[in-house]
Amino acid sequence: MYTVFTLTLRQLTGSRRQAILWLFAALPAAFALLLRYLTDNYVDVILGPVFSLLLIAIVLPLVVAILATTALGEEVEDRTLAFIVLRPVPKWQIILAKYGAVVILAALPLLIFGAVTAGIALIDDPFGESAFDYETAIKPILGVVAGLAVGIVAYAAAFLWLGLISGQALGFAIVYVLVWEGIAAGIFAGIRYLSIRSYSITTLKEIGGEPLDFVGVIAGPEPSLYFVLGGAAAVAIVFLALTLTQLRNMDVP
Amino acid sequence: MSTNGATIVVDNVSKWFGNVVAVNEISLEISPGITGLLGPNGAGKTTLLHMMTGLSATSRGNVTVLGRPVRGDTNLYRQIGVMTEHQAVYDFYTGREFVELSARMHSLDDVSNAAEKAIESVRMTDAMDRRLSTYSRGMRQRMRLAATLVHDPPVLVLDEPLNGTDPRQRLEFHDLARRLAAEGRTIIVSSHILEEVETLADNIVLMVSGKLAASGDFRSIRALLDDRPYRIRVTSTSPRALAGGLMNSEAVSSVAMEDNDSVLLLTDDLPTLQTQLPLIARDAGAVLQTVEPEDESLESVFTYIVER
Repeated sequence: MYTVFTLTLRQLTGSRRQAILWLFAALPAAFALLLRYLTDNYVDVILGPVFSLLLIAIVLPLVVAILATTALGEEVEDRTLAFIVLRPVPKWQIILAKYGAVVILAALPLLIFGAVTAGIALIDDPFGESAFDYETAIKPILGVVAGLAVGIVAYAAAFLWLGLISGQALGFAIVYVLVWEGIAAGIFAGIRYLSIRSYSITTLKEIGGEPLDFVGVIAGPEPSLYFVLGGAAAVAIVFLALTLTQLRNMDVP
Repeated sequence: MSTNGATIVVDNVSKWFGNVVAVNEISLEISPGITGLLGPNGAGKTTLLHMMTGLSATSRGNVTVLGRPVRGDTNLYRQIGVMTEHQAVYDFYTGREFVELSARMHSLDDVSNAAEKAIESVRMTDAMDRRLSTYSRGMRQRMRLAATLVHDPPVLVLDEPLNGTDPRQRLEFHDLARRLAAEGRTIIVSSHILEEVETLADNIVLMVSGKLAASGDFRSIRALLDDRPYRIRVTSTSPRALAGGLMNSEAVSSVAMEDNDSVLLLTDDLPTLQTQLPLIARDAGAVLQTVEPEDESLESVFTYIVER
């Protein structure tokens, strides 16, 4: 499994793709920095639109989608998948190795820049005592990291499966994010129980506490932390199982 | 292995994609030695090889390798080496790293030593520390072969392994394949080039349009090929006079004029015609300009065998 894991790391980091992803993941932090110097109510704006509309709604799913749809999708497209499946490596190990590599490569830029973005909004003096205050700085940053991690874990499994079943996986991933999590979740409140974005926002707010109240405000009751953690885990397990079934049953080109 | 020593048993296997039948009810047994899987492009060779190696499921029928169903048995790949038709490699690796990757996936004890040995067997030691992206097609094929051989498998399935190789590399491949076969391995080599397989394989499996056209030792299949009638187009300075002369030859079964400037003839006896044609032309006062086979494509040769 370790061999396939390191192979996938090299596949996904060996090109300009990773540099572009890091720049993309840094966008919310860059916006936050600008807003901090340009507006007075920067805390509300950063924790509101920048977090809700940019980081969690766009940057998080897109960074994961680009990596996850490539991890298996590119192997199908350039026909290197046969090289792996013709070796005595159990299929579940191939899937877990690919999944692990995607999660790590997505987590590094997203968690770092997510924490930096939150820090820009919440910490007055990065070198002062307030930077180490648990309630106003450390706890909300931990909430941001946890919320993003939940999103990464769930999106990575769903998009890994998409990459294996479709040549247009990235397109379908974008449609899913825009239509299901954007438009449909805005119209039908119940979809928050079946939305990875909702799982991410709820985790972030529940763990981060009061300073993150501005993030992703939606009318009506939010699912509980236990529900969203269970939901994200279920999404990851179901889609990894679907990916394994697909790899076992498909004709490998 | 089956009771008669066959390493690979293909039992009434078919494969279809929607309404298209790619492989149609093929049964065959492959024993140790070199077997050539021959057929024109699109004959279904790769589809059959994919089913033999477990890459594709059969629509009907069964394939066993070393007595075990190949599809879904990951451990069986410890005993099979497969080189697919497509030349896809991980370009960011050096040749050595690529072969070592294969060795690691086979959980070999001494990865480095096994990789070097396999690379040496395909004579790529000098270039093994270069990136695969800098290799020529032939070099890439040889390094892929090394990755296929690295775990020393008793069964080798090689789909068009000579694509992109030059004549010297082909000779080296022939030597290597014969050496491996002499050690008791079962080797299947697919090709759409008749001569390529003729000089290499002990046995031939001939596929046309998804069907098994013939199988057995090469001599019997070669005899089938040599018995077929040939259509020859001849252009000369006096086509009518030449056509008259050809009608009197026993080697020619029919003669027809084409566009008033060439003669189309049918012969069952090519060697005799080769001897007689210049003499007939001389007697007719015609200067031969071109003598071309009309239907020498591999497709037409194979189709003839199927129709017999």
